[in-house]
Amino acid sequence: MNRRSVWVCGVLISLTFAVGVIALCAGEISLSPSDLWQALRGTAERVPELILSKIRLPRSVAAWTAGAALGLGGALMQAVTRNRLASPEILGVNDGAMFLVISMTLFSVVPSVGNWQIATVGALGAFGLLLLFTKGLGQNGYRILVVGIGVSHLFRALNELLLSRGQIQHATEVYVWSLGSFVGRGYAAALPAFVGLLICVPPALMLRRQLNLLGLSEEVAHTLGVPVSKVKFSALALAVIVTGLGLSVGGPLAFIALASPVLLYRLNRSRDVPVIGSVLAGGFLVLAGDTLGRILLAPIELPVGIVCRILGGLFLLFLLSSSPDESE
Amino acid sequence: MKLSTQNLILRYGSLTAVQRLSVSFSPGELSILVGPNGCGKSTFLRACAGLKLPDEGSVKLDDDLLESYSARKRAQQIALLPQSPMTPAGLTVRGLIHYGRHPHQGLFQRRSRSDDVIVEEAMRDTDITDLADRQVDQLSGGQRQRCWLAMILAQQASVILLDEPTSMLDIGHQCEILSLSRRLAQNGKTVVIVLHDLMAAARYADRLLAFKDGVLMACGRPKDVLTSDVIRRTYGIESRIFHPEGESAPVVIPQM
Repeated sequence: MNRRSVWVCGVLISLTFAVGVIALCAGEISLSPSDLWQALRGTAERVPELILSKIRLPRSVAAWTAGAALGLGGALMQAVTRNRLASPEILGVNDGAMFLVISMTLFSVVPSVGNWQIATVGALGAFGLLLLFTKGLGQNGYRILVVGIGVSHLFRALNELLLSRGQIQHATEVYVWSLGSFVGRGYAAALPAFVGLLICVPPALMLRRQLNLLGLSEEVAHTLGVPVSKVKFSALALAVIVTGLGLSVGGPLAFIALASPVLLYRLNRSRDVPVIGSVLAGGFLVLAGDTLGRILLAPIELPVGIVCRILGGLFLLFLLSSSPDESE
Repeated sequence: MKLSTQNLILRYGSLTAVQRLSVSFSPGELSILVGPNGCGKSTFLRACAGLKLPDEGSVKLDDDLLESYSARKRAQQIALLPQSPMTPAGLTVRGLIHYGRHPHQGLFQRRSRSDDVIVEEAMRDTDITDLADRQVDQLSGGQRQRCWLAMILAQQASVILLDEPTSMLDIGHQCEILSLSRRLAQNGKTVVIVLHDLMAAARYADRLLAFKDGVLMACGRPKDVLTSDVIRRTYGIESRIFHPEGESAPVVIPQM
């Protein structure tokens, strides 16, 4: 990491803490920073203490964790495919995971959504399907994108079919989850993704330099001693697992996986794959999105998935309009 | 190290690009491959670098099969400059050349002092020291080409394969690059170059190999290979060959 990217990470961490304070203070019962301080020292009154420890802190942790996992997944996918559009929603990983979660919930195999094993298995299943149809990872980054779009539409159609036929009480819950929301989510939902993140970051860091070389071209990476297919496969598998875990927390959150690494490439002004940076940016963006969704139209709460979509869409438009020479 | 092929056959689908080729390249020797477009030269070079696996036959480094090498070990021994590689955005010249050190670095190892020295040397040899902090994608085609070559030099492999390294260069830099290749060979490297310029090939090569349709038409010292007969059979054109006084290499004049 060069000096600039360390600095960027520092800024992201500070911003995350700032948003974290807002997330903890703002809400139907608004608290002051001094309430936070008292709660931290254990001298707070009962109600603020309960709100913080049972509702807002767990939810904020869940939101950050989900975003961090999706950010990492996006960074790895973009690096492997050498394409900024290669996010889990485009490659069908999101919809594959949703398909399994929705069908398992609607057919009452599991009591409720947010089961991390199911989301991860679903993501891996979609990835397997992707590999099957692309006949291996292949040389061309774009082929996997085209097949991914096909796979995602297939699953999306199935998901909509399932939701329209499902029993109403299940379908509502699943529908909210499929929009992306952290209502009622806490440590229990975040734990698997958090552990997965801790496990996946070190190997991602180990692959980083080889992924940087892969960004030159597969040919050049090969001649510089990168075991190309091994690196691509490991990085993609990591990306899929961490994405599955991430979306098990609060549902699929569009644009986070796409925006986090793109933002980091911009901020770092470097073509090195931003592993840590994307984790921090993803966490920050989702926490900020969830907080915005809670306070923007209070007392009505906007699902974070919708906030992400609005802000992500604007972000993408801004990015495209501000960089006419963006060739990658 | 010696690079050799044994009955090498390379195919693309049903098309045979290289047909049963047995040839070897020794350290201290500059070999230049010539031949018409699509004759299998580049495919052959890619197979020598392990980028394409043999469909039949084998490629060996000294006495070991190339396939038995790990990616990293292979990259320590063989460097390939592909034909017009894609130019990455957001990378400085020095950053690009440092990538050439990758095969020699451990998983978490950072740049060492000796890496820096080797990179500076590579930039000096290719005359790009003053471009070191520029962005690669903002350079001219010729400058980029020299950057890629510097990256290959920094790799310090014992076998160096160059696919049309001078195609984007003016005559001055063409001569510099080919002279540099000669020096590399004289210092004990095994150097194999694909080139279209017959006259440059004749001047610089220790050994000239003429290809057509994946078959080796002629192989030997430039003045033995560059004959009207070989040129007719390889390129399908008539030509006259001159041997100017005081000039070791023959001059080829195609007939109109």
